[in-house]
Amino acid sequence: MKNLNPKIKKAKKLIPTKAQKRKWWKLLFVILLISLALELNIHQHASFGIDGTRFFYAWFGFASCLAIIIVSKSLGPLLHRPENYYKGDDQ
Amino acid sequence: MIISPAIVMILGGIMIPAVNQKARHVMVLGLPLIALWMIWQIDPGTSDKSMLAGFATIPVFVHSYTHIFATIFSLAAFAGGLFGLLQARRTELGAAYVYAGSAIGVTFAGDLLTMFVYWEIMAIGSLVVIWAGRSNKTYRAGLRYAYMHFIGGVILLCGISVQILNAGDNSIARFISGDKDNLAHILIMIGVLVNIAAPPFSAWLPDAYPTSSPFGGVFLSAFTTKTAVFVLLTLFAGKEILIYIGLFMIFYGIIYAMLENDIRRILSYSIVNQVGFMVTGIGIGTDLALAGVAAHAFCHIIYKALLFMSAGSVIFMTGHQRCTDLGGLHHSMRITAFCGIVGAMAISAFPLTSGFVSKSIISAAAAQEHLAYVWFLLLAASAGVFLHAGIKFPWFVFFAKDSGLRPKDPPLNMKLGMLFLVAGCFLPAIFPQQFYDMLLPGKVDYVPYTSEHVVTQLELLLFSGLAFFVMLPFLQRTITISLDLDWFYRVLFMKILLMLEKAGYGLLAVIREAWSAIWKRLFGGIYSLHGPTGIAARNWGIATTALTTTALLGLLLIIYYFGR
Repeated sequence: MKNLNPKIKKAKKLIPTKAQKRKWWKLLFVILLISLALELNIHQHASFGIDGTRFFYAWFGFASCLAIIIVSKSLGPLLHRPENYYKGDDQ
Repeated sequence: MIISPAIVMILGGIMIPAVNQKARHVMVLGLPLIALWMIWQIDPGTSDKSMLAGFATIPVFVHSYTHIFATIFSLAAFAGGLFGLLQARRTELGAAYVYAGSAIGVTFAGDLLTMFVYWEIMAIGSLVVIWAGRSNKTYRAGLRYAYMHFIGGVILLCGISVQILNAGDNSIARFISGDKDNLAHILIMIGVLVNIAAPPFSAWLPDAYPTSSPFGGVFLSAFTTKTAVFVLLTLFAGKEILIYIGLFMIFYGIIYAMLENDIRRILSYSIVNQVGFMVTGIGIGTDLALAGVAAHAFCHIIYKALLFMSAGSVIFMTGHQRCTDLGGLHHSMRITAFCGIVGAMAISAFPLTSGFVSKSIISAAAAQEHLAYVWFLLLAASAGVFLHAGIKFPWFVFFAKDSGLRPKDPPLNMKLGMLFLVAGCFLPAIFPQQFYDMLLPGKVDYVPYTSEHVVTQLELLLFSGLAFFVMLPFLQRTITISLDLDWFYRVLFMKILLMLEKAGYGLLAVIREAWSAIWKRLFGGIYSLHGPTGIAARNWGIATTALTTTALLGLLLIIYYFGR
């Protein structure tokens, strides 16, 4: 089942260089700015007031994800166990 | 008498392991299509009665949402069959078709008993599919899965019995129109919630599914929970408590998926999360919400099966299923990576993918009902879905780092299975109106493609993506598992049992001692007289015996003489 080909491994590095990473980050920011710019051109209908304000979806999405990451990260030490925690499964 | 499409799938599934290879290939690819054709031959409103063991049963009945669910079940069976055609074990394929057929059977059940029978066949079929993973881990997880589902089945049957006793009738129509909040409703709802992986019964899903074979996972992701969604949708639409259960499932799924290292456990928690959206929609209960639930179930089965196929291909080709062992596979598994990314985009509801035209209906229904907190939580959850399934899964498998693995794409039939579902992720999104009109009952008053919806959705997702990459240093995977609710029955329950056993033996010893003390006190005197060493137990000489007997006879004679 394993198709390991050591030739390709040496031939091509898959880890991007710092310059490449910077390029990707720049691209991401350009796309983010475009999405914000697009919002300026549309008329938003608010169902609950706040969702009609400028850039609501941008900060709400960012903040929700931040909250989810922080909550799950802080639950980590409480819930994480070594893989062989349940005995008998790997006999 | 109309033959249920379920019967064709189930009988075919039983025959699949027995026939030769050529016939098997024809059956695996043909059966779901025959079933699909049969499903569309049965018109809405059809009701076919028959008798079974003294009960009037309705094996073929078309509910409002029968067609959409039965259609997607047969399509999922076809895709899964194609994906595993040459590689999966034949018992696995056969069991998977029995499993799929019984899921279709549930959607056509017009009465509770028929539903129950198919429900249990489904549990058995899925158990065989899980066990096809063939390891000790799979065996044990399958047993836990079986316990959970058979307990759920018993609760369901109790509810059905109460309903028959109360109403004198087991038809689903009668159940829906009958009074709510009685014992039958509560029991049946609990039985269905076990299968839907709602808390506190949620742990069986991420426990069992990731231990299945790369092919079994595809079938498992499609049927059990979505059949339960269908039943919940048909029987309990508009029940408010479901909103809270659904919201809990959504965030429980996201948070656990964020903690996971095993790629199929990530996807399993993601099922709980997505089904949570559907349960919330059922709780909202308006026509729009229910249409959204059915549409979302349809789209969800497609993209989740696609994600499981993509993960399954990676596992099949590399033998690894931990994020920490994988990474950088996009270079050598181009098609698999493409399919995985399409599935991830569809689950995140990117415009032009299926999630965009289905999940948003549920949110729109929440807004229509002015359920502010539900709407905001659903929006936050949509961002969270992109986080855990949309980016995390493809990122750690196909990018992230160079794991040194250079697997090729999987064999042709597996690739075709994936590409079939890729088309399924795009078609409903490109022709949303046709999708709604064809599969949903009634007119759906919803337009997904407004410039506002497209732009705001893009904004939401892109900034969620930003959050992921900003926080990436904190998201590195560790080789761990996460404790879930199954800890209670795998560890706590066992500990309590062992403690009880110990305490029981202790108690037994105390009782024995006390009893022997009481025994001594009560019967000590008699014992000393008649016990083995007592006077009465001694051996007598012949002379003493003869003398005593003569004396007793003399005494008897005297008594007889005077007493006459």
